[in-house]
Amino acid sequence: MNDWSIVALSLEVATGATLLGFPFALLAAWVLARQDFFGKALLDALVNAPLVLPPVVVGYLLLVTLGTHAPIGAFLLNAFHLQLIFTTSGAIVAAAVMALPLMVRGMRLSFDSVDDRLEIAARTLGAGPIDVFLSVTLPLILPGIASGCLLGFARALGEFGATITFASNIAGETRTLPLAIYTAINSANGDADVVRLVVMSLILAIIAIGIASLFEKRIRILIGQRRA
Amino acid sequence: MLDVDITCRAGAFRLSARFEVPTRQTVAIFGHSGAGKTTLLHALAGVLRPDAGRIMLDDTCFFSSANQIDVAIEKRRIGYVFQEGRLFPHLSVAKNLDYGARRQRTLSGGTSVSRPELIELLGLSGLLARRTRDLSGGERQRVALARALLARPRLLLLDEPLAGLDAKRKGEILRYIEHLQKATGVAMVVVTHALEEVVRLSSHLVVLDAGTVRKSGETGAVLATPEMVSLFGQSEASTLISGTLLEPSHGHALARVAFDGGLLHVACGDCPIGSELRIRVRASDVSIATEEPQQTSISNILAARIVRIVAGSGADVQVLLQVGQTPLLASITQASLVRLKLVAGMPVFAMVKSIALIDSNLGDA
Repeated sequence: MNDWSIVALSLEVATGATLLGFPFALLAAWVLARQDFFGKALLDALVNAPLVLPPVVVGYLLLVTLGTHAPIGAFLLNAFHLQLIFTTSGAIVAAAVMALPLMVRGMRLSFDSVDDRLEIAARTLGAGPIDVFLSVTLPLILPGIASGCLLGFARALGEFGATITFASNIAGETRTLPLAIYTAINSANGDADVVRLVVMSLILAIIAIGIASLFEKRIRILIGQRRA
Repeated sequence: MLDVDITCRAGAFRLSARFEVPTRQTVAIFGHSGAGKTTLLHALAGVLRPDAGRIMLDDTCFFSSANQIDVAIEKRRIGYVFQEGRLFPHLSVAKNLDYGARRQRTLSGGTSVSRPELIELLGLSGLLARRTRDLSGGERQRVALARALLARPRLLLLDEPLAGLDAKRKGEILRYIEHLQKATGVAMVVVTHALEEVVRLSSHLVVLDAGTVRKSGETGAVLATPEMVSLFGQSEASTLISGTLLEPSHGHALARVAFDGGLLHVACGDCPIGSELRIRVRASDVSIATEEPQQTSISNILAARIVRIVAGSGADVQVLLQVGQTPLLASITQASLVRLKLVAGMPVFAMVKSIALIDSNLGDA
């Protein structure tokens, strides 16, 4: 297993987790920011649970719901031949669940910051609610979406506990950078591997932060929050 | 015809508005802050759902609690120019203009004015590529006006369109609104707490006070109601006189304007003969004499008859006079009223100290 394929797998898992989490995060952020209903506090708690629970607990809960013998897991396996445990897909699911609260947080704050008077103005100009969401709300919360996704991506990249519990530690399938570092630490003569992998983690983090700040600036110019 | 009869509750505030006004020309809704003006506009636009009642524009029902009708904001085709402009920050000026236009392209009826024409009218050609955050207050208001009109509204609501602008910009936007009225013929409802805007823009007036309609009707008739003076403000309360210019001014002489009740002498730069003029006379500029004054610096002295005397809140009383067929308000002190023994029906002379020309271009409209 060479280092680059570990990095590639880590990026695949983190990207997959961000993409998988995105629609759920956007929906949850919108509901939490804009809707009032009975049980909203429960949804809020559910979305934020991975933030406060030990990741191992999240992994265990995933195992008892999505494992091959658990009801949902068995259904996925039978209907779609989708096995989550011991697979990259499983690592993606675990990372997505862990990343969700951070994604929701960023997006929810930006929903709150959108001036709803602009949305009303759009409606007086003939736009229906969905049209208003796509043409006014969404562009204005782009910075929040971007920062939410970045936080989620970073969280997914560093995910360890839930992944190893749910999807296990299998080279080439679920062994992302953190799991590889953990494995190297536990092996008799893995010191050199540990150092190499840690350096790669650092480089990855720096690149991600650089790209993110570049993007954020561009987006804010694009939606008129700052001058070019 | 805009036919409104609604009750709304917004927190502790209660609005109960009932009026009927023709919308072929501009309607002004006057009231102090907290009178319920914005609540009323919100109800008209569909932003706020009234508790009960109905809102009709000509044959279209927008809201009726009896028939369970509540047309969605975007289906009402009521344009709304908000106090703060509410331009979309993520779009350029050009794209802001196109926002409504694109969505209403397939609709028929309503105000239809071409984009280039409107850009010309409102002087926007230099702004199209700009971002909205770089615009000044006056520019924002012009863009908002154009954006609303391009959505081809059947009725255009303007919420304090001049609030937050300096005196120079106010005059500029007022002229733009007057131009738009004439060029597009759009029906407008203008909400304001400034009588100047009422006088300049409206043909009909609805006076709101503490959530109820105190009076509605033709602007001139509502203004000439002595009971309303305390609401309009002692120094602002005025009557409007329409007249025709008989001859222009020569040298130091003032122009003579004939109205239904006599002649007025007005300083009028270069209005052509025959111009229809609207003249504003402040009640505080009208004094009353029981005998015709002979030696006086005042050039406008009109024979009048007292119709009604209404005591105000302070030391002043409002006297409604009639000059021929034209009403005229005079504001005098309680002491003078007693001293001159003025009573309704009495023939008097109204001395008009100064008069203001509102617009001189109605004749060519």
